[in-house]
Amino acid sequence: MDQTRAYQAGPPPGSAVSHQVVEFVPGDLLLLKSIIDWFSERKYLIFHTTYHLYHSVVIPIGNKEGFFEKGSESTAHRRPETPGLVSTRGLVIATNFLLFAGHETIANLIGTGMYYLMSQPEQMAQLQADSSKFRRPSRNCCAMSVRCMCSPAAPHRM
Amino acid sequence: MHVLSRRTTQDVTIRGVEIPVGSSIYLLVGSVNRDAEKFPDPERLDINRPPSRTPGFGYGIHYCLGAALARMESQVAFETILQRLLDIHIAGEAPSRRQLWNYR
Repeated sequence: MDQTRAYQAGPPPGSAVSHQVVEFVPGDLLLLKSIIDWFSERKYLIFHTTYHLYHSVVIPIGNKEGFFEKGSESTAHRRPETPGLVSTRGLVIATNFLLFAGHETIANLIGTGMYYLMSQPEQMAQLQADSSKFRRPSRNCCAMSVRCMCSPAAPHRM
Repeated sequence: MHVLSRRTTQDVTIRGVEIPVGSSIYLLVGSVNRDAEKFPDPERLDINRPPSRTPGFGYGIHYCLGAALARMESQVAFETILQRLLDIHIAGEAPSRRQLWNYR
């Protein structure tokens, strides 16, 4: 397996961005660093970053590496090299999904949530006055996420 | 998430609507939290609403990979913002609706 690969993909539909080449080392922190630097240099907004990342990086990788089955990108982490286990490469791809997909969804959650709270100041005041109203999720979130990936019968609620 | 996509593995009838096997369907799960049959004032944010099994993270083997991480991140974010910015409020006009597939 080559350590360094270059993938080339066309810009997203309607994008003014010209044809780009992204170089990175798969399965390494350099991958994230190179992606972040690549987008940061072009001063893309977060939404544009995730959009371009999906079309320019994630889909080309998935198609080239054979992670996707019948065009379904979401099955990337369920293509084990050993039955019952998540492959290392699948885990890397899934981690990227987790990081970037989670970035956009959490940003949307926080923004929307704050808007609704500010729209109802009496509700917001309750939270500010009593922090016990915040439910404490498990601190072991990474292990729970991996367990969710590896289990054939993932929990419907954690 | 407002929308999840699924494919039916058998014929199913939901509230009089017949969906044949093999159909691609889009579930507007975001509407569950505004179910007037379950919540007395569904359109109103109520931080004291009893916990319910929200479908926002999906269900079963496709359950959201980052659900636990998302809950932790949101808890940290909301608590930090509300404790540090005591007089935070909406400035200007109300935000406009975003015409996006899965976010508003």
